[in-house]
This record gives sequence, structure tokens and C-alpha cells, in this order.
Amino acid sequence: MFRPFMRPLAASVLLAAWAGTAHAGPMDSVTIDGYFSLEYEKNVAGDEFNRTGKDMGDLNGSFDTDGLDLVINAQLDPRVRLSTDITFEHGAATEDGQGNVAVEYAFAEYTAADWLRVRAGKMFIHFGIYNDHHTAKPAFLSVKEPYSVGRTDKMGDDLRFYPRWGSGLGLLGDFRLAGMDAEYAVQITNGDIYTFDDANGGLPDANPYEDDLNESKAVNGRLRLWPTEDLRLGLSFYTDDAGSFGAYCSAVLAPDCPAVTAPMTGSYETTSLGLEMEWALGGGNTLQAEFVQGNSAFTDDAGAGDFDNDRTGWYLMWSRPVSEHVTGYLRYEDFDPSDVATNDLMHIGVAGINWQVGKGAHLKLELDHYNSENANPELKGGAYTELKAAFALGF
Amino acid sequence: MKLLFSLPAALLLAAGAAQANNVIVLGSGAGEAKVSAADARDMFLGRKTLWANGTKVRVCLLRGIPGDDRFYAELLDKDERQFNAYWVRRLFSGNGVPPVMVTSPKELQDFLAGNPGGLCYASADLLSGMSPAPKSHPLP
Repeated sequence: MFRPFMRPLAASVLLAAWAGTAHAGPMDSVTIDGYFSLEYEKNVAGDEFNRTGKDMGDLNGSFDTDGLDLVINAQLDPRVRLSTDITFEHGAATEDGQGNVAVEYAFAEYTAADWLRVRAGKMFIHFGIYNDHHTAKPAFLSVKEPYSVGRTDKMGDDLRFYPRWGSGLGLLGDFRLAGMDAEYAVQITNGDIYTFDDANGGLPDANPYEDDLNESKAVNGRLRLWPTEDLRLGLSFYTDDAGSFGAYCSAVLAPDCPAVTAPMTGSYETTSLGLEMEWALGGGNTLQAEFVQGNSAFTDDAGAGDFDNDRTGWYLMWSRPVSEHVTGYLRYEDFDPSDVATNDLMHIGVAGINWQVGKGAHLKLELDHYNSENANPELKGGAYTELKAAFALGF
Repeated sequence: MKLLFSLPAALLLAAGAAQANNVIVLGSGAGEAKVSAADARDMFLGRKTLWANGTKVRVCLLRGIPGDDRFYAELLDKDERQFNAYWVRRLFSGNGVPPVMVTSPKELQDFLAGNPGGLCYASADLLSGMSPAPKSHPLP
């Protein structure tokens, strides 16, 4: 037997561990899958540095052993499942402090009914189309996920619309609503950490998957509906009241913060609302789009540094198979880091192909053109084109 | 000219016969003798994971048998590419385990033995070599 899409991975890790024990175990209820990706990026045209001298894109052209992830599911009981994704990113070598080894998610799930599954653990935040599988490069066409809704730190705002992960509880389910397929997810988590340790290189000063620095919890949710088999619509939200907040405001949170030179303390609230659409138009043509608007509001204890900022990101992507195994795609993205600032927009245009070269194996090749207005905090008016390529393998 | 007319007709007949031969196979713990089209679709898409009696649903597919198009297009409302993409996303976002592929009567038998709540898409011809033959019915 083998799993669809992918060749089986010999379950060497767990089987080796289990082989040393005498009892017949539940290994037949354990499945191991995973994915791997290697990427290459190079700035091939346009500006090499922005007005502050910062590199724009990868000037040298670099290979990135982006990740090797093992996805393990253990069905312990008809209703109880343990699921985890363990990642080894960027050629992880912990002895040298290089790369990253992390638990993308690890949760236990109890299925009370198909419309009510309860999860506990570290989970991807279910917001929009990409975040809950953003590391799984075989699962989407392009080399990178759309930055305008998921990686706004790449487009001029380090405060993202929502964090990647959360530790806490989740409710999920599939159901039918007025004859339509529907699914939902609601999560209650510690939220993100918005305080940074000066003595520790500006890293967050707590582990948000272990400690919450405030009593309030982050809440997010996503509802998806299929009005037809070919059209999926979705709505997501994320909200967190961080309670207390201290930061390198000018360095870390620009442009949300006013220009200050000392850390501030106060309360911070973030709210984001997202819309998503995937529409199979026929003939293999597919449209995908997301729109996210977020608000970040900080109340300074000292009363001097309050800010209230709206951010907006959206993209539209069109894809179409050009042969049995090759799909072409075009994407346009737009991000406005601040409704207060002017001339700070950033845009990305992407044109690429995804060639399925084998079962679960994809070659991706694309050109990404970045440009911005003068006040954009990331590019500061610069523009350049980057070649991106990737080999992604699911197994 | 006669050949030109008769060849498509023969192909259609062959495809129709193949489709009629494809069946839904149920494990011994399914607790139901037949599944509706809606339930079968939800099970193959991972949206329904429990039988009414509480047994865990596990699905398997015999890929590449004649008549697959009807399974994907009519039962699942997807083509094979869309079905695979759907499950890659679902798997890697932590939302379930995709169908197991079987390639022989022995593998189908082993799968059903290990998964009493099994639900498989296979050809009736494949079942003829199995003893005892599992519960099955034509595609709903």
C-alpha cells in the first residue's frame, strides 16, 4: 500500500524507537508524511540598495535548504488523534546555532462529532488561505506565500495581521449550512508577545507557547462556505489585547509607532479581519484572492505615544494549467502599512510556473517584481526584480 | 465509415461497463450496508470521519481503474488533480490523513482487516479474488 501523491517515507524514526520494545504497539495507527523544499533567490534587475543602504533582495543569489518537515499523525482511538509537524529549517545545525528546529504544531484532537473537534496544543492560527500550511511548499503553486496578507514585515510593517502560531484551545468542524458545505475554526490562545528583551538582542522576552504575559487571550476564527463546488468564500478574524506592552517602538514597530527612542509601556490591541476567495472558473482557470484589514492601537501609560493605525493588504492570483503537469500563475499584491502615512504603498507582481516533475515533486520558477512609494518603510521608494526558484517535494 | 461510427460507440460501451463495475467497499465495522452519495463524498474528502456506530472511517482508493473519471467528477465534484491538491493542503495543515492507495486484492484485504471502518473505492473485478468478499455496492 502507499499513500496518494507521495511515496511512503520509511517510518524509520518511530519504528526504530518502537522496535526496541517488546509489546505490540499501535504503530499501524501512526502515519508519517512530510515535505522538503530547496529555494534559490537572486536580485536580477533594478535597485540593489534602498535609500538607507539596506540590501534589496538577495544580491548574491543564494540556495536555501528551506525546510524538511515530518508530519506525524497518531490515531490513538476512533475519536482521539495526535498530530504534529516537526520542522528542520535552513539546514538546521544546532551546534553552530544555524537554522531552526521547531514544532510547527503539536496538538491532541478529540472528535465529539464531525462538526465539533476539540484541539489542545500549539496550532497554526487559522486565518485566511495560507497560514495553516504556509510551510508546506508542495501545497501551493508559488515559491512564497503572498506577503501582503501573511508576511507584512516584508512590506513595511513588522506587526503582522496575526501571529503564525498560537498555544491554547481550538474548536473546528465541518457542517452544512443552507445546503452548502461549510467549515469553521475558532481558537483561543495566549496570543503573541509584543515585549522585547533589550539584553537579549531584542528577542521576545517570553515564550508565548508557554507563558502569557497578560490575562486576556487572543481569539481568532475562520468560516468557509462553498456556495458551489467551484467557489469557496471565507471570513477570518483575529483579536488580541496584549494588556501591557514595552518595545523598541521606533525600531521594531515602525511605522505603527510614533518616532520614539526609548521603550514605551502601555496597552496594545490588535484586530484583523480577512476575506478570502477561491474560484475555479472552468478550463483549469482558478482565481484566488484575499483582503485583510488590521488595526493596531497602543495606549501609552505616559500618555505621549498613543497611536492608532489601520493597515490593508490584498492580492489577486490567477492560475491556469498550460499542460498536464505545468501550471502558470500571475499574482498582484498591494500593501498599505499605515492609513496615517502617505506615499507608503508597496506592490509585488509575480509571474511563474509550477511544473509537477513527479509524484509530489514540483519545480517552481518565478519572477517577483517589488516596487514602493518613497515613504514605504521597507523599500523606501526602491524597486527591483528577484528570480525565485524552488524544488518542493511532498512525501 | 462504419468503423468511424462504431469505434466511439464501442469505447463508450466499454467505459460504461467499467464504471458499472466500480464499487464502494465497506469494512466489517461500518455498521451500514450502503452509503449515500453525500456520505461517501464527505468520507473521501475527510469531512465525515465517524460512522454512526462510532467506528473511525478510513478510506482507501484503487487508483487507475477504468471509470475513475466518474468517481472524481460525479461523486467528488473534482478532478484527480484537484482531489490531490485538496488532500495535500488538508494533510499538511493538520486536518486529517488522506486516503490510502491499494494496488492489489491482498492490499485491499489487509487494509479492511486493519481498518474495520474502512471505505474503499475499487473495481468489482478486484473483489472477485477475495474470500470472503467484503460488503460492497455500486457507486451511489
